[in-house]
Amino acid sequence: MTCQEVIEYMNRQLDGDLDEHEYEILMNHTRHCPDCAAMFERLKKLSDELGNLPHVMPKYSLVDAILPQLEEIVPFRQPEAAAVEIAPVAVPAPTQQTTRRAKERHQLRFRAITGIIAASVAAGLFLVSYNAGLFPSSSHSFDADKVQTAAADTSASSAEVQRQFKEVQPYANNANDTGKAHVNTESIDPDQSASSADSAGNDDYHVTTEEDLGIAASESEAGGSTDNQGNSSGGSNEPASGNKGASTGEAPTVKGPSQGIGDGSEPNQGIAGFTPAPLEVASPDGSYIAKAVGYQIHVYKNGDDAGKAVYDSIRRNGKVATLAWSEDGKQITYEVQLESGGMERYTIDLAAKTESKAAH
Amino acid sequence: MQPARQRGCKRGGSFVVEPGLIRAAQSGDRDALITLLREIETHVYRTAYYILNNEQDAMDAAQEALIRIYTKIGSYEEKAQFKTWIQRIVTNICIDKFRRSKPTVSIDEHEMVFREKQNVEDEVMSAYAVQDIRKAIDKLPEHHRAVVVLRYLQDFSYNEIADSLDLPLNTVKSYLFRARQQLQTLLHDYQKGGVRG
Repeated sequence: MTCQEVIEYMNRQLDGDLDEHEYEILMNHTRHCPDCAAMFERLKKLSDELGNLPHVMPKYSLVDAILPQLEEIVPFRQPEAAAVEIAPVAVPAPTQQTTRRAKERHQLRFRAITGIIAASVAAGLFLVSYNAGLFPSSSHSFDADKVQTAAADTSASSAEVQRQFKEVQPYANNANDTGKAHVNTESIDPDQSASSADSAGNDDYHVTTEEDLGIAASESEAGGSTDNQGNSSGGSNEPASGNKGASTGEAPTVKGPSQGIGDGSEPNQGIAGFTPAPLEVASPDGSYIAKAVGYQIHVYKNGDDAGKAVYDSIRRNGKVATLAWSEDGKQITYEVQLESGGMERYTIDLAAKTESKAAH
Repeated sequence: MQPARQRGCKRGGSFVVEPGLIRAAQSGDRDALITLLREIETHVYRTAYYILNNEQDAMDAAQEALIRIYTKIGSYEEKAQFKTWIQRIVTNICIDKFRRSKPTVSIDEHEMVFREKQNVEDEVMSAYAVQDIRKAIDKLPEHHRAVVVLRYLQDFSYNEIADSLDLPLNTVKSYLFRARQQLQTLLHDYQKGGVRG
């Protein structure tokens, strides 16, 4: 055994990592090698010194010192279900959400079944009250929307939800492995058959259109969570139109769950992994919206020309984890969660359209 | 591979935060989260202090780490040890600060060993001053330094250090062993009143 190998044994001995046999080899060597014996002594002494370094304490309580700052910070919770669902479109699918997703799939399937039942009832009523085959397809679906709009409490939003479901459709067909994607396809199925039925018999056409109506109605009856899903998947799939929901006052309810604003009692579902949160924060004066999508930040105009892109950040090496406006609304600070586990913080200067790495 | 056996925890460096407290903090109980931060603040500070070798920088880094823990508590997964999770956060912040303020020093292991063998002498038994040790630690490259700090100030095992720094186990050992070599060479030189050729 060379002296160099013995030095490794010495080190492992200092860490309590040698078994008896190895310890014997070490001791045998040091008995016959004065250099190594001396080295071992010095390493032992060093190790003792290191182990006896002063137990330093902070001068004052660090937690007390940062309490005022903590008051203003909302602990970052992982994105909720709605946020996770958009993953297949925006970024590669997350891998650790299987149980939650299975649960969602179950819930959504239940919802779809309720929808179909409601659709059948509505279809029956419709067949009785309307004369089949007289309406051209376009005006017909317009009617359906109108009926549904009247019925839904959330008025305009539910029609929008339905339209967004239609827009989602191409993505849903492309997406392969998430529960949401499947359910989207299911929910939209009647809709698809409606369009394909245009060329088919009129009777068929009416029935399927009414299924469509029935599902839309049941979606809006199903309450907030359903609306949220519709809106968030629709909204996130069309970054170009950006903050279209905000002007109708819908955006806060959509984004609420993923940011967990102020709600301390909200159950934490976000333990599994770093999945992208569709962080969306309005500037202090409300004239801009900054939205984090995966590795990038997009800034849009709000108000009159809502949705107009103002600035796209540089693509970073990790997902955007937090996002905040400066008080004057001229700067955006965001943190990037690196794959190595580290964090990097950057500041965007909106006026200059530049960004730089920020100090911690 | 043989698991690293922990030496007796004579310095109380290792600590365990009660899992119930962590879960309460994760579920949004703010008081639990603050209590948890109070329990870990000394450990966070100590790591920062010995990596940065400067009290004020250590206060800043530790506060930043605590704020990050506060905001990220939801992303902690129980499959990792909590203590390695928080040490990962604080060492990342420290290494980041360290990189911005200091040039990297490289270790020439072979030269060191060679010199060492010539210098094996009698002052082995005398104690190094704490100041000398801190000065020597300050000469280590960032990761070597972090490994030493986690090993001695947090009483971490090889595996725990590997988890905290996201390094392979063998790299951890190699850094630790090399750091010891360099430290004892430096300390030896300090005792001689300066570096010898």
